[in-house]
Amino acid sequence: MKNDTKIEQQLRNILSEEFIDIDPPENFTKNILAKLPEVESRTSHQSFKHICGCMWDKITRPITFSFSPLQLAVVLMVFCGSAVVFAPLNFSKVASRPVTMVKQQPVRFALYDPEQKFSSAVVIGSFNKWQSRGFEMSYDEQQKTWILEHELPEGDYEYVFLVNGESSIPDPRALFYVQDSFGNKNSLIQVGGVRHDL
Amino acid sequence: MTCSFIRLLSLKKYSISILFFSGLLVSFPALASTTDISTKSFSKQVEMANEAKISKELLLLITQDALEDRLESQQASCLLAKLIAAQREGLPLNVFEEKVIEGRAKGVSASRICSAVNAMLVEMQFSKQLLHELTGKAPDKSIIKNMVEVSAQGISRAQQTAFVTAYASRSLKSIVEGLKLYALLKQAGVSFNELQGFMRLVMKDDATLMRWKEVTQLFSIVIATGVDPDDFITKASSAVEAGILPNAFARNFALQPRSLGVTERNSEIN
Amino acid sequence: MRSSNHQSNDAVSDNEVVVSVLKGDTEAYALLITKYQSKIYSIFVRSIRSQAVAAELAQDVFLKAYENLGQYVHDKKFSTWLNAIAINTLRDYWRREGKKNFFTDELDIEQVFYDSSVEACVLGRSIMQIVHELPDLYREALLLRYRDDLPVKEVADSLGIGVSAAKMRLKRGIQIISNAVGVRNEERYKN
Repeated sequence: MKNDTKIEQQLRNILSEEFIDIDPPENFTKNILAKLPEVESRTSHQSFKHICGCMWDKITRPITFSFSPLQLAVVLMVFCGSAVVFAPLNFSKVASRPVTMVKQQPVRFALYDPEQKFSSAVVIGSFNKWQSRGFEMSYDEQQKTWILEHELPEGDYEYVFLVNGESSIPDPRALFYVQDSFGNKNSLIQVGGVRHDL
Repeated sequence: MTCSFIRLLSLKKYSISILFFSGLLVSFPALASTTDISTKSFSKQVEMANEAKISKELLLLITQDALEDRLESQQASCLLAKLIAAQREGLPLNVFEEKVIEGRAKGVSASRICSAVNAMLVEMQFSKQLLHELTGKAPDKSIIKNMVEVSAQGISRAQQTAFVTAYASRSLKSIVEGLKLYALLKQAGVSFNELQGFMRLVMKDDATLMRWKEVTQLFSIVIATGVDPDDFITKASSAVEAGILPNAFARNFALQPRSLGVTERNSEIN
Repeated sequence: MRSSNHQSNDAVSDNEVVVSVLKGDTEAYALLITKYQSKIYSIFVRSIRSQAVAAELAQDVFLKAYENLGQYVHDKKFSTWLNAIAINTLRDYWRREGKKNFFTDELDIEQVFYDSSVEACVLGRSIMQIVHELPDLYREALLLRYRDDLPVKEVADSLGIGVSAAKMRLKRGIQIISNAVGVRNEERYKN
């Protein structure tokens, strides 16, 4: 520490003063211990318990949203109800799961970024419920473009590029757009039909 | 939000636990005795929303956001109120639900999502009434959904009214498809007179409309090659009149699939 | 909420507790959880906004550690081993979320330097805020080295990377911060 530069000393002071670890929710240890005997045969069953555990922690913590038994009931009802209703759905694979009735068409999304200003780019849209998972674009050094090739069922879709994980921008190359009601535009892609029959 | 999806996904195998929990829940409301006004109204709204068949997925997102302080209870209430109103009026709920999800994905603030949902609600009410009054037919949810898309594509209320009036005798489906085509060609820069002429031709019968509604896809390729929008639509109008199919018409422009920016692995034509 | 001191000289060493747990004393694991829960939970809280998700992932870390306790090699510190599991869990989380860049080994130093320094000038941001904005791996490396005072070898082990990579990461982290602070000081002198 003697050899520390000035900035290192500053860092030592600041980090030990300002970056204090915080305690987890109250029943943290209890929750883990409750699961330990099951560790041998761990399955995703625990995820369910985790969630309820976390929700419970959240609900019972005094500083957060105040919560009555009625609300608790409602929230859990909604929560568990949704688990039943949505159990068969896999949202991340909405667009990629095999669709037997609808014809899938190859689609290529491209975002030109000559100076590679973006650190990441993802396509989000009505075809993937605006979820980024599985729709990450990769940067092509030669074309200086972020590219994603994917297959989509025929239809019209709205989409934008989510860059750097936070800002959404419409496709500059798209001819058609839709107002997104938030003051910006979504690009419109028409999959299938004559353009694919050419 | 994604994490909520993960959570939901992880639940799918465990319907037994879920049933057990659901059973527990039945007894919970009886415990409710001390609730302050604001939280009571929120929980009531959640109940109402649940009864109104608002998607469980969305309800979960909203309640969870409220719980985790990402969403103020006031905003959560606003969203729920709009969704309940939409359901009561027989409007397509999934459009609103998707808008909320879209807004969250884009990091839009809850208050803006709420005003967007409200604006859509108003727009839908207008379209529904317009179609009903001018055609005498009650539009179903899919028609209303399409009308909202049309207005989001930049078609004003006056233009909607004029178009619906002009084709009031047609089926609602044709009217909406026609409006959609109209909106996109207008976006692409086709001038008013050319557009009116083309629309009159394609609206002749349903078969023609269904065949030519894909002209927008050709358009997006052709425009990239520097063709003037009006020239293109004039040629398209002649093709419609001559009974030429869109595919054959496309070849007149020597369209290369690659120029779409869409990979066309099945392409046979050069 | 200050954490309990996790660097104290406890009467019972972590290794002894681990041995008891492995012999079947499940309850003894609670000692390790209480000792390290804040440290592990905080890693997730610093990176993920949702406290519920952070708690869930932190719980996962302790369950994974329990599950793999047999593989824990006693010549390393238990805390180091646990930390590496946490870092891996966090990496997996961001990967699943499709946001690799939140958690990247590759850092465009000029980009970060530019962003943080300019913002530091404009908004008067502090070193602390710059540290907050660093990619997770850089922030965690700096915390292990300069807050927890760990030798570089242990920083490397805690992050599951090699010593040279850890050195590089610390060096770059320092560089980013000093650049940002340097620019701000220059600005101050000008005024």
